[in-house]
Amino acid sequence: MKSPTSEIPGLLPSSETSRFTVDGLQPQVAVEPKSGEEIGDLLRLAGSQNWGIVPFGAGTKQGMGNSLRRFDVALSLANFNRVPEYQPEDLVVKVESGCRLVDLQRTLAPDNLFLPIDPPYYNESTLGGIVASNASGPWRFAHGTMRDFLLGISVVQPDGTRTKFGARVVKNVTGYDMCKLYVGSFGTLGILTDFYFKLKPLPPCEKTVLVVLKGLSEVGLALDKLFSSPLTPLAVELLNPAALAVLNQSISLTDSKEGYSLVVRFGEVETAVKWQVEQLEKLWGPLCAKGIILGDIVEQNLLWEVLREDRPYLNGFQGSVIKLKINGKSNQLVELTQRLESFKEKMEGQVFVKSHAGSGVIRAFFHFATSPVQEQRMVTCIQELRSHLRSSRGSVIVESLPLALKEAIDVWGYHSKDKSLMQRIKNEYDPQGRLNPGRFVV
Amino acid sequence: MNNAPAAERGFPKDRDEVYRHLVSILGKEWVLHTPEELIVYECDGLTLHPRLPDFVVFPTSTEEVVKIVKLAWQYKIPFLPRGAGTSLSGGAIPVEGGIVLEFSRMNRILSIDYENRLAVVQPGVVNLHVTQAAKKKNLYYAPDPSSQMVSTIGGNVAENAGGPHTLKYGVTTNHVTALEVVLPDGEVYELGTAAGDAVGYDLVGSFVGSEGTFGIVTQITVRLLYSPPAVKTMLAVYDSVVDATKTVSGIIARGVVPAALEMIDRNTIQAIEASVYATGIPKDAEAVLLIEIDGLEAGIQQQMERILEVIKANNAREIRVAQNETERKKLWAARKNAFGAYGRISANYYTMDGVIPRSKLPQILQEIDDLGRKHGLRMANVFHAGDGNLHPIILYDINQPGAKENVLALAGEILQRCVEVGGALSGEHGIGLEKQEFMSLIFSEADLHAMQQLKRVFNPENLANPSKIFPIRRGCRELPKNLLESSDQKYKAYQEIVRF
Ligand SMILES: Cc1cc2nc3c(=O)[nH]c(=O)nc-3n(C[C@H](O)[C@H](O)[C@H](O)COP(=O)(O)OP(=O)(O)OC[C@H]3O[C@@H](n4cnc5c(N)ncnc54)[C@H](O)[C@@H]3O)c2cc1C
Repeated sequence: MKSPTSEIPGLLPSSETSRFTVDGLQPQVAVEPKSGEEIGDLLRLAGSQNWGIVPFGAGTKQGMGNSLRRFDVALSLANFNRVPEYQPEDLVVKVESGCRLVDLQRTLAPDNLFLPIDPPYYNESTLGGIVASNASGPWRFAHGTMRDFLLGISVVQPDGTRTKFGARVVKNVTGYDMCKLYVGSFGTLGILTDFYFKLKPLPPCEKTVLVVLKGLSEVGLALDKLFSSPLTPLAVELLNPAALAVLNQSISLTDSKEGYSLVVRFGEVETAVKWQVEQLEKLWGPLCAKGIILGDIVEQNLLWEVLREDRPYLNGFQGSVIKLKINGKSNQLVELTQRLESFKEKMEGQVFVKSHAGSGVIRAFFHFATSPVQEQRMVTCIQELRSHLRSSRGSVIVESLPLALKEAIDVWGYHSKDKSLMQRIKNEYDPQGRLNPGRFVV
Repeated sequence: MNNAPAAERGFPKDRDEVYRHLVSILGKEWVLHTPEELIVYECDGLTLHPRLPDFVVFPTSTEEVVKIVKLAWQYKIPFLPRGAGTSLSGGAIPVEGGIVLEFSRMNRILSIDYENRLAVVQPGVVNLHVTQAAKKKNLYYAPDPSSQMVSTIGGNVAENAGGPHTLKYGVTTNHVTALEVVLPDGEVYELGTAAGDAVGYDLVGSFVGSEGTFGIVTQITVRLLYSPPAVKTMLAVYDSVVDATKTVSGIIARGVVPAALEMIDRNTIQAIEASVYATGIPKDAEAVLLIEIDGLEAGIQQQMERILEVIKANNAREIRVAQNETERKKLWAARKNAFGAYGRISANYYTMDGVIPRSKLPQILQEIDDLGRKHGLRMANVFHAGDGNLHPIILYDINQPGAKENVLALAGEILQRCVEVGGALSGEHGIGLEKQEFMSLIFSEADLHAMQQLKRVFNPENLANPSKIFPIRRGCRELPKNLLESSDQKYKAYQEIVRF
């Protein structure tokens, strides 16, 4: 880096830079600015120096994306950790981007409110990271994703200008819906400093039903029955046998070693929850080998934590791991699960599949012995899956993979015509490609 | 960005040539070009600022849209898509003339995928028709603007339309998963996906609500929901507006999210009760709340009890609960026919759309009342209280000297107050032509610039629906004069045409 670093606002001592490693790369410097002004100054300086900048929340998703082309400055938002405005009676909150999701939920809970987003790394993730990566979890079935909750946003543009969009109201068409542009933009369009979110009341009563089904055809039938009924679950998750085994290791709910599991959560007024559980028993009883109903909230939370988190499926195994997010139509679930499991033979490993049924989002974890041959097979499998999904406009995102493989595969794998529009957006806002260079789709 | 008005870009010099091209694409019968034919398209639901287009055309396919748009691109003629023309912000008014593409011939529901709960529709499909088509499998399309019997999905997407039930179910953008669009250069793109999450930037989310200024939507994939099996509708009558608004915040604060929570004020009640839509609401009532909850039969009673508690605690003088579908329709009739009823008590009315944090309702309603009095104008208000989305209606008579100026001055002051309490200019009707000069009340130059950058990505030559959304006289906070004048020469020449 050419410039005297003393000009940099919020510079951290060099001993701190190793905390901000991305894909084995360390930045030249790490900064922790205190205000939007300081971020603006930093970005202007970066512009004149041609630095590559990576915004940092908790860093839980820094493994995602293609390899960085350049990494000069890590921009930590750790100082942006406040909840500056909160109107429980309006069901709206303003939060800074470095604030952790759990801390926000703790602020809201006394008023029986919450932000209905439950991504993996729930306890560490910051809201900035969650918005930027459009992270989601099981609750998306009933509540949707970040795009459905973000009402307003402050953004420091790549040229250092500070901008604000949206407002603290739940419904707003004043100008373009800029909030949408930043959800899932992976820190490539600006530095997000604070948000207004819409909140929801916590469900007064919750129950979870876990069933074990013999095979995928029963799963298909069970889901058809559920989705053509009036039941309104909060979440519907499907685990394949391998994933169910992981769940059983963490909390022993069933002794089933075989079979697929569907886990359904209901949350509403008590009478409605009770009725739905009864209905589900009627609908699914004939199909199930086993069924468990959980009423205890602590037990339920423990179960949903294992369902939600990536960690149990990533850690504690030998060899290499690849994590995929597969986007398909919701009625492709069974067929895609089958296809993913068939990779097991092709590459001599284990395949864990857990899906947000009804949302079309599947998360698959592959464990295999580290070897070039195996890795090449994995790349071929992903390519096959991508071409299979192309006609329905589905996609496969490689969310986590061995570093060496990043050169062999484009983790986004996105080549539709509208990619050129995405490129134009990127060029319009960040023409010099300063933010997260090389990492995102464009 | 090229912001020059069309006249300076060489149009309508080539008018005859363009006409011949349009006829060769669509046939004579589907290209309107005489003032008598065009007059119907001089405005939308915003009648204050009419302008005539040069042509109105009726495409039947994406291919035809592409040809028309490419022609416009070649001649640098402004164009704009038009659905049912019910926009209340002037979104469908051809301020710079040019070509209006009307979508009544692209009105087919292309497919309904019951398994994945999706419908693929053309832009000219009327909102309510989607629900009607999906009904047999108990599905429906949730966003329900009060104009849903006529307004189109294309127009809804462009305005990101809301409606009474968006309190619980969200607005248009929450229900659109994919779009096919024709950009002003004539290129066709598919945006978004109905298969899980889209990869890359959220282009669908960016396009929805762009008010026709990014290009033309030619196909829309929407999500369908399962119809809630149980619905309860109740109406609460109040002697004080404050009590009614306290009920609204009380319900929200108690964590109950009704499907709809609408408020009707005294002037509206009087208008309704004096009209053929009379429902027997006491004429001296100060405010009425219309509350609807839905969900499962099993939980609905419990929900209703919680709401009734709040209503009673806030001194409602009368509560009616619909016992069946006929009674329910009757309660809704009051709300839905409000606009029709205004016609009886006032020669003209102007509908506003400010949105505020819900807890500010009592304060702002009082202030709006005071502002109306200051300007000597009568006001009414029928609105989506649960969302904090106001619809102050200014009642006036256009034939009174200075009426238009007075109405716009009052409107400006109301919007200013909405913004000051943390609100915004529009909850669902859009900015369009109507509120563009107020944009700087809420956005800085930098904010507006960033929005214009997004517009430049899609519409670099500013041909799609130009002169909308952004202030034309930058930084100016006085009365939007451009809205007060009808300076367009061409337009003046048509003044003698009979309008009906
Ligand atoms: C009595 C009444 C009640 C209303 N109630 C509500 C309400 O409850 N909620 C609400 O949100 N609105 C309401 N509105 C406003 C209006 O109905 C909505 O804005 C509606 O979405 C407009 O649809 P339209 O088909 O009439 O579109 P138009 O008025 O024809 O067009 C509106 C905008 O959409 C653009 N557009 C149209 N078609 C396309 C296309 N295919 N591609 C790109 N852009 C396109 C136009 O260029 C224009 O900018 C109401 C209006 C009236 C008159």
